Formats: sequence, C-alpha cells, structure tokens
Amino acid sequence: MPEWKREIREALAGAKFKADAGREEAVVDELAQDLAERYEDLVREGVEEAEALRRLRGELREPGFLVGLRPRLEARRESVMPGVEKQEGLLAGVQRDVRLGVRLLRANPAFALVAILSLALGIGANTAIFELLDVVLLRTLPVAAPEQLAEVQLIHAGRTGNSVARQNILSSAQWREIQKQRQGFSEIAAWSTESLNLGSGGEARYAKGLWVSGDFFQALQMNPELGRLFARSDDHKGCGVQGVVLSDAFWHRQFGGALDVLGKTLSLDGLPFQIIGVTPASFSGLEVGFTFDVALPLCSEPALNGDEPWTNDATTWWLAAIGRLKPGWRVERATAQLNAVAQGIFTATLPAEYDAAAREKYLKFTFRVLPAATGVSELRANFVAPLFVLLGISGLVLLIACANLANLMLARASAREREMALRVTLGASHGRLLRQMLVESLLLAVIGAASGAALAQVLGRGLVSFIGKRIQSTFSATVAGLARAVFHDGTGGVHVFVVWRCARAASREVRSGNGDEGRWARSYVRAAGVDVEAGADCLAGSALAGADGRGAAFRAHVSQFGVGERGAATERRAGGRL
Amino acid sequence: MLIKGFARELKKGSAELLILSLLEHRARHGYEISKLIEQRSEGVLQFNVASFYPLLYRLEERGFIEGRWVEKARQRRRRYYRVTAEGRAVLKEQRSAWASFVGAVNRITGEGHA
Repeated sequence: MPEWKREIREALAGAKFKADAGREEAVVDELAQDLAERYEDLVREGVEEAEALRRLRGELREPGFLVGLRPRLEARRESVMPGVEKQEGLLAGVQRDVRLGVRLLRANPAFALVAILSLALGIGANTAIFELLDVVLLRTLPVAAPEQLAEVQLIHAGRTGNSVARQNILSSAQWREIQKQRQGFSEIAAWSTESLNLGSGGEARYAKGLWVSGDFFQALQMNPELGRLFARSDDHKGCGVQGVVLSDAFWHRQFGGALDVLGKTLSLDGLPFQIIGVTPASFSGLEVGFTFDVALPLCSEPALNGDEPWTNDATTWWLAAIGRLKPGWRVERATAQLNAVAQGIFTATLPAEYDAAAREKYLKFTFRVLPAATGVSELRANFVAPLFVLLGISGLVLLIACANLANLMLARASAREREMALRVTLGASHGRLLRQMLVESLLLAVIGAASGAALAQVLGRGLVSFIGKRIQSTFSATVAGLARAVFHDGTGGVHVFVVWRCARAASREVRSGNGDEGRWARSYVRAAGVDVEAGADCLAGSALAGADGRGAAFRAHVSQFGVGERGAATERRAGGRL
Repeated sequence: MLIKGFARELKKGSAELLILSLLEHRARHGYEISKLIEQRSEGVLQFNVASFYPLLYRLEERGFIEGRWVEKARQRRRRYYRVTAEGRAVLKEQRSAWASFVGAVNRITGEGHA
C-alpha cells in the first residue's frame, strides 16, 4: 500500500502559499483516506497496482489541485472570537489583552509593586542624573551658530593680583591687547559679573549685573526683545553712567513686562542708568547655573567702583573673553595664533609694580582657546566627574533592576505554564499568546517609565539642592526623552526579535509533534522576561541619548572633558589671588 | 474534443447541485459522495481527487455544507459532511433552476419536436 500521506505532502510542497499547519494536516488525513480507497477499488477492479498508483499520483500532480486547495489551506489570521468567521486586524482585541494584563498585575500586587519600583528607581535615577548632565555639559547657548563660539583662557604657573569676579581670567589691559590682535576671531567680546544694589537708600536689594564690552551682543548675534542692545559706540572710555539692558526675566519681574520701560531710569549702586533695551527670553547669560538681571557696558565700571576702578588696574583679573571663530579656524589654530603674539601682549601689559620674580612669571603666560558652544561653567569642573560616577552607579542599579525583573518573570513561569497550556489547548495561536506577553511587558515598562519620570523630578530637585540651587529645572526636555524612550520600547527591534525567535521555536515544537506544552509555555514567559529587560535597557539608553538627539554631543563632551576641561579646572583653582 | 469540453462544462455546472443533493438526507464522507456520483450516473460523471475536494471545500467555505470528524467503533476516523440550512435553500433554488433549464433544453432539442 502506498504511503498516501507522504505522496500528498510532496504534492503540497510545491504550493506557492504558506499553508496553515492544522488545516494542512486535516486535508492530508482526509485525502489519504480517499486515495487509499480509490486505490483499493482500482486494484479490486483488476487494474495493475503500478498503473493504479500512476493514475492516482497523476491526479495529485494536476495543476488545478494546488490552486483549488489554496483557499482551504492558506494561513489566515485567527477570528476575533471562536466561532466568528470574520478575520481580525493586527491590533484587534488589544484592549482585551491590556485589560487582562492589568487584572494580572492587580492579582499579583507584590510582583507588580516590585517590578514597577525596580524600573521606576532605575529609570528615575538615570533620568535625573542625565538631566543635570544635560544642563551642565550638553546644552548649547541659545544663540546663532553656537559651535563657532570659543573662550580665551590664560595659562600660568601663578600670578600676583586681585581676582574680584568669577570671571578672573584677564585684566582690562590684557583684554584691550587681545582685542587688537585677535586674528582668529571674527568677533570677540569681554564680559564679567558683579552684584549691583538696586536700592536707593535703606535696605540693599541686589541685582545680578553683567559687564559686557560694546560688541558682546554682536558677537553672540543676538537681537533685542525690546529696544536695542549695546553697540561698539556705547562702550568708550569715560562713558560714565549711560544705558542699561535688562534681561527678559528681570524685565518681567521688576517691571511686569511693561512696554514703556524704555527710557525709564534704574538705580544701580545709587547711580541712575537709563533702560535702553531687553534681551531675548531665551538668553539668561553665558554661565551655566548663573543668570543675569542687568547688563552694563565695561566703560561704566569706573563710575560704579569709584576710587579703585578695576578697568585701570593691570593686576585686577576680572574679565573673560568669548569670541566667534572665523570660518575655517579651529581652537588649536586660534590658540597658536594668540600664543604667537603672547610675548608682545604680556610685555605691553606688564604691571609696573611687579618685582623681578613676578615679571619673569608674567612674561611666561600663554593662552589657550577652548570651545564655548555650551557656555562657560565652574560647575563642570566641580560636579561633572561626580555626576558621571553617579550616572555609572545608577546605570548599574538599572541593570540590576532589569536582571531582578527578568528573574521575577521567570519565577512566574511555573505559575503561568498551566494557563498557557490551557490556552494552547483551547486553540489560541502562538502569535496571540506572544502578543499577550508583549502587552503585559509593555504595560510594566510604561507604568515603570511613568513612575520613573515622576521619581526623576523628585531626585532631580534633590540633586539640584545638593549642587546649590543654581541649576534651573529642565524637566520638559527630559520628559520628551522619556516619551521617546517609551515609544522605542513599543517599537524597538530588540524585544520584537526576541519574541519572534520564541515564536519560531514554539512553532517548530508544534510541527515536530512535541507535545510538551509546558516547555512551550515556559518559552513564552521567558520571552516576556527578556522582553521587559530589553525594553528597560532600551528605555534607559533612549533617556540617556534622548531629548533633542544629544547623544553625539554627549560623547563629544565626554572626550573633550577628559582632555581639556580638567586642565582648565586645575588652572582655575590655581588662578585665584596668589 | 469539442464534445468532451461541453461535457466537462456541464459537469462543472452541475457539480454543486449533485453534491448538495446527495447530502440532502444524510451525512456522507468525501469518497462516498464521489463514488455515489459515479455509480448513480452509471460512470458518466466521475470526479477525481484533484477536482472533487476543492469543490467540496469551497461549498464548506461558503457555508452550504459543514464537515466534522467522526470516529466510529472499529472504523477509521472520517470526515462527514452534511448540508446546512443555507445549503438546503441553495439546493432548492438550484434544483428548480436546473429542472426548468433541462426542460427548456429538452423542449428545444427533444425528439418530440422532430
């Protein structure tokens, strides 16, 4: 007796469509019985066995056979409900999956709490720390082409003089010489900071003052929010008490954003300055963590500081210089150019009161030009290294949380084996079961991420108060990053790949006739565990590289910080009053 | 050749009616239906595996018949088909249409008019 099942399967192997395994098995079974009876009848009627076999094989090879069976055999999506013929779309019934997922979480509150807390802690800590790193290290100044900006640093082995401001890099004399010989910069400006008394008697109220050279706002290519900003003509020797430019925040705080503020007088250290303009809301200064209220031209400094003006003292370090590099110039070339003329600059600005030893040191000073796209900051020197350490630790915490979660999911496997086996027995397709697992793990990831976002705000505030309340909250960008991260989790390739592999494995088991449904069920649950882990990794990675695509900037700053910033930090520490 | 093609078209056109008619009063399995068609037509109408089962499955997909696996003592598990309510209605219509068609053809081609 011929092996009719094998004959039929060989004929079906030529089909150009994907057959549903269950339907194919049923058709093979039915046709094999039919062919066996036809064969027996033919032989009984006296047809030679070989001839009977040839005839029936010929029928299986007829071209219309596979075409006719296609509607019966072709794999199709399962119905929305058992007994309903209508086929379902890809996402049909997802609501039911979500409802079941929520019910399962509520039924196992201990598991849900541990899983969500693990994710929330990991994601929240990473996000909060990244938020601070973003502010301190990554965010560029809100000006046109910030990548062209560079600051001038002074390198020395000790100097004699007064550091009267945070910007204790240059003296006025040095600034004037640099301004004359700045071949690498298309624009260069000096600036400093000082607290100025707003009160005109009685209790002192201080405003954060920003000293700027006349071309400061041109160098930053900034347009006023209201009125006008300083021009070169505003900054001339002996200008005395002239105009003042307000920051947008101060304008709103002090004057309620009134449009008729222009021309009004503002008292600073008891002197009347006329308000000439307001800076854009996006600009709050060049220093990370420090804002300004009012900007004054450098030439007004002698008027405020009376008998001992900083401007006239060659040993008072109170200025910083920032400029816009010419096209084609890099910081290395600008450094080389400034150092080529450094001898002349320091000879011309040598303080007359220096003794021989101080003169020798002074004449050995050199310059270095550093990128300033992200502004300038002492916070970087003081806090970036600890923040990186914290980020590393919190990354490890997240990894541990993920491993814990995967273990929890695996531990649940034994409890869910029976459920999965039952559903398989009742006719659930493996695709449907995998979707259920996917929805459950997504649910955990989304709730964990949302909790992490909330936790990040609290942790972020804690870190800010630790650093000194100088960093403004910037949570909107972080939330955007997290939202993107959740999206990544929903669509990212890693866990889909894992689930797909699991589906393939399960399908092979069924086709090969291994009836170990427990093993199959375990593979689903294992897939869900790995899925959550991969999803959480994805969340963390996306949160880190997330908002505004700052991943590349992040890496660039890390490498830059390792080489350049540490040296500058050392100099700043050594550069106080000696 | 032309006659053969004509007979094939007639067979194709009447196949559904034949199957539904044989299932009208009792459930039968595929080979039984196929064998009965051959016997009752005295060998004029024959269906092979490649043409019969696609037809049978199509009727099932359209809801005119339904099949179920039946296991009987000391017998192989077989798939039996029975006509559905919708199939009965279709059978009634097809039978009536066929009778009037054959009557009309006979009236034109029949010996009575010769």
